[in-house]
Amino acid sequence: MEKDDRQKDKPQRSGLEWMGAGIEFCGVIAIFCYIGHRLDGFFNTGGPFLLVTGFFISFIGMMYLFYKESK
Amino acid sequence: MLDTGGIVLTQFNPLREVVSRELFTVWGITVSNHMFMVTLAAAILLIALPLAVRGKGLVSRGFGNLIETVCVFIREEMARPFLGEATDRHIGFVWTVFFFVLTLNLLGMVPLDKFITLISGAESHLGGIATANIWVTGSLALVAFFSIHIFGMRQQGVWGYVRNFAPNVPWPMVPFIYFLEVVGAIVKPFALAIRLFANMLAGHVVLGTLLGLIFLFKNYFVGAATVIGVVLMSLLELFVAFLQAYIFTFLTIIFIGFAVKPQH
Repeated sequence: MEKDDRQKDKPQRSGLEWMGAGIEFCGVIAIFCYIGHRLDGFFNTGGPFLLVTGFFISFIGMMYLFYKESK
Repeated sequence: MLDTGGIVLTQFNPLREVVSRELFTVWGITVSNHMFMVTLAAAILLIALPLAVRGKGLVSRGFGNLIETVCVFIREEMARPFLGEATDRHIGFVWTVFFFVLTLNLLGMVPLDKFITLISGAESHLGGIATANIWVTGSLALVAFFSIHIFGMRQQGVWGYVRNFAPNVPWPMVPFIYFLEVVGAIVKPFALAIRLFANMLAGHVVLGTLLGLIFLFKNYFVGAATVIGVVLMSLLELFVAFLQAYIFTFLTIIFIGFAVKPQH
């Protein structure tokens, strides 16, 4: 009974906010990779180091964001 | 149209309707159709909303009643479960975000440029979907990003906000969780911007592509089928306009909730 009350108190969330989540995930990674690529050119790093950094930052960030949103 | 051995090249470009177009230049600043639509949406809201809610009695009527219903839904059903007692403090911002994004989305459905072309005979670009422009959604997300952190600092104080930036974890985990939170905070505005931009752009490109079939095939059957398809897609786009405004507002509320309630 107590558990039911706790369930009732939890904010009700529909699945609608997950519409387009895949596009969002890929889009954010693409933007960070692009920024990294441009910064590689700007700083003349001699390799795709900042592009790869951008990928990891966006990938980890989006995974953590989705985890927090779904909690 | 060119037919080069099975590859059909056409001059019709479905992106034509969604790209930003230069209108005029004022004091060295180039004004595009999307900037015009953003200004138009702001002007409409500044005029229409105060007029709608202006009433003598406690019970609003007509359009005012509709606005009030939407505002109450956003406050009670969307914001209060996440913001709790802090709801009324931040609800003004949340309402503004919802109505602004919704108005931009709905204005994008109005073929304003086509009406002007029909009436005046000259080609016009006074129209377009501003939320299918990454710079517009990026600006909206940037405003949301700064507001989220400012609300958090106002609620808990700057030091309190920094201390509660990450959830309570055993001390060896603290640097990692702070790193994750900082990365999450950087990614948040990008996620907000991309979601709105991609969904609005995709819908309008599909509409443009469907209309392009008429120019490609040039026959009555395809024309009739395309018109039916475009009408149905437009109805779906109308739903998406409301849905994306709802989602943008909902995510902003969740992020404000993370910032103002340390237990998150």
